[in-house]
Amino acid sequence: MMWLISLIPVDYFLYAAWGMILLGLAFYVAAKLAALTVYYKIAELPLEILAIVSLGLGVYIYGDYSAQTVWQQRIAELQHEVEVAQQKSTVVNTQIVKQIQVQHKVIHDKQVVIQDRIKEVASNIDSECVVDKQAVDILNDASIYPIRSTQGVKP
Amino acid sequence: MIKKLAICALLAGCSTTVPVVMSFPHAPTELTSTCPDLAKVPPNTTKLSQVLDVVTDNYSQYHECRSKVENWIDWYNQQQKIFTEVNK
Repeated sequence: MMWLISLIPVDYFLYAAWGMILLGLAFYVAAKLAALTVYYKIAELPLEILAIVSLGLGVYIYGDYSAQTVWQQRIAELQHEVEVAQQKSTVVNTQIVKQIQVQHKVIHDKQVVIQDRIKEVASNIDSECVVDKQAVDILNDASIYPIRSTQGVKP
Repeated sequence: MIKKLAICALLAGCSTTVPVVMSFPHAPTELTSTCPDLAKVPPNTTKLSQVLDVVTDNYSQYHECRSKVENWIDWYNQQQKIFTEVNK
């Protein structure tokens, strides 16, 4: 049903509404005029019924047109808000990526400095201390990610 | 004529709202990659400098992962703020 309505231009509902309202008023005036005459007095009731039906339909269609217009505006507003939000989201992503790159560079640079310091003192500390294999094994065991090794769950 | 208008009015009465959908934002690939395993000390080494080298490498690895997690939190908070602004 909706696709059928979407084919009808929205303004046509407004024309139809006003047409029905004017028609209803015309029927009402005609009914009152008919009541003044002797020959057409019999037409008063049918004309009044037609007037009520026309006015009722006109008001209904006008109300629906107004509701449709309001909803169309709301949809347009929401679509605009979503577009703005998506642009903001893209900006946030770009900022985060830059932030990560800067932070990782700082971390890497510090690591290079630390490695240089180790190289400077390597001969000294290696001559004073011999690392036991058991210490190496413990250290290596500690480096294993326990979740994956025990439960088989990939991080 | 009235019949046609009545049908038209009835059809108009059945109208519903058009949903506006905001797509879920994609996180940067820098955040979605997993942290690598920690480096291991060569099993037969006796040099403390080599152990120190691996340990500091792992510290560095941890710092990178920490930065990633912090940026994930930052990303989430900012995206949530944007999303809330649209849906309020």
